Amino acid sequence: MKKKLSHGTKWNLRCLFCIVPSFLGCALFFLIPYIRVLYYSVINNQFQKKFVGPENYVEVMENEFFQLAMKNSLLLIGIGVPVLMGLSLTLSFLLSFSLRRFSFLRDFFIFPMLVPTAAVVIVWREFFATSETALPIYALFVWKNLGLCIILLTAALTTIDEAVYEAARLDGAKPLRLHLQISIPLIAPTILFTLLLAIMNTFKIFKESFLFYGSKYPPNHSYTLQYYMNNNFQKFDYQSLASASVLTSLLVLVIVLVGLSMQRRVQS
Amino acid sequence: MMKKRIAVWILFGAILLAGLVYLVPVVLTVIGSFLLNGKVSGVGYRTLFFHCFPFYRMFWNSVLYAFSVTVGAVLIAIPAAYGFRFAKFPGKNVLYVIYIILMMMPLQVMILPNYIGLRDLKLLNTPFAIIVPLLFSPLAVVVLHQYLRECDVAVVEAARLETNSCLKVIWHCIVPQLKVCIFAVGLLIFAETWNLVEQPLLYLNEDKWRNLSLLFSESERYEAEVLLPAAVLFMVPVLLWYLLFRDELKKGLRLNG
Repeated sequence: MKKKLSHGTKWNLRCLFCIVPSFLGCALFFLIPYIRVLYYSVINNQFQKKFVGPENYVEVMENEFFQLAMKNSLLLIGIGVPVLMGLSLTLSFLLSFSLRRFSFLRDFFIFPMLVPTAAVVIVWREFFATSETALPIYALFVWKNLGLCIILLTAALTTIDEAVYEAARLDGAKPLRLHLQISIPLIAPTILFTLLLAIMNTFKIFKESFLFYGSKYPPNHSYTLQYYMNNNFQKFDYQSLASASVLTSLLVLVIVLVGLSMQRRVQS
Repeated sequence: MMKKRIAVWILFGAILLAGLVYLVPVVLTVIGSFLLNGKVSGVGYRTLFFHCFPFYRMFWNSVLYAFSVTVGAVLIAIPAAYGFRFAKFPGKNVLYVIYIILMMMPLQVMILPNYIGLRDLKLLNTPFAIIVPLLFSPLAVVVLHQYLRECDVAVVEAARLETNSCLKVIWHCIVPQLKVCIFAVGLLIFAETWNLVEQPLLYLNEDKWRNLSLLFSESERYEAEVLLPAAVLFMVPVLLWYLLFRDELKKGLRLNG
């Protein structure tokens, strides 16, 4: 009983097939191994494979280094991200409107996103040699990420129709109110997406910290999750690694889903 | 009116100043590479070129990783983005959200799954351990798909009357429209791969396949004077790409959700 596929269905299958290579790769390297990581996180070790329930999770959550890494991540999200968003919003708005003819200034801020951290870190070490806070890492975070935020926000701002502003200006709206009431709501989905990306990039800050402090152990304020992961890799402690991965992924999942649902609400 | 103009110029000055401060790390790296003990000197470069042999190997490893990942990831992501745009199947939205979540997942979460996948495929300690997982970039798929949503669809409908091949449609109708975005995504992926640190550190045991980023993290293994010249040479490829493709970079990235 073979059903003949219509032309449209065949075409649809062909289109569907285009996703397959990408999906297979993601499944092979991310999704399927992730299921194994879930399994690792609930057994006692690789050899006995005894089910221990949430024991590994409790152990990881009680580990002082995991707590320290999480605290530092949250601090960066609480301090670094608002600074980054504030700067990128201000610069994007100024260079798209009042200072439009100087929009070449944007290039100054964009190009550090491509400069490899490893290349500037030597100067950074000299510069912040006496720093006793996490300031050098925060500075690197803003320096590296401002460009992408400006690009995304500016791209959204340029899609706003001029006519909207003309109409509002005729009604006598002041520039500041114009933006607060028109531009910001119009690009709100993009602002949210940019915010989400910025939050996620705080987790990537290990690279900066690792390069800044070299193979030495970092001071507490710059300790990041990746150090914890690396230590456990060296100890072959896959159970702690797995539980820490799962916990972090749950945190990210919550942030992303909240972000996406907020975005959907803003859009409609 | 006058007041407003003055305000604009003050703002311009402030932003220009901030922009110059932004350049300082790069400028100082370049200047520093020509200095030794406070005097202008080319000794750093000479030592780097003639006495620091690991540099060449590391540099070419970086080139290998960055080029193969950029080309491969873009080639895999374009059809996938096209598929997301034009194929109809149940669960498409769910799959797309999975891609967004994967794109947002920090490396720390993915590094153990990645490691397990590579171990099972016996790819650890080979250059493929670095290259292969990066080929399947969810970011590239999401960004290209976002851009594709605002592209002209009528061309594809018209082209379907002429051909039955998805690849032909992609090549003739999609790629030309996506060009700007493809360059932007390619540039992002190149920069990211050029800057790899964690993966070579964890997936490779031997020095043989290490990339140039690691030279700076293990700087005490090398003579101090070669570091800044090496940093300059490390920046040159990305800065060249930036000069060539900066308009694409500025116009090609849109994420509206």
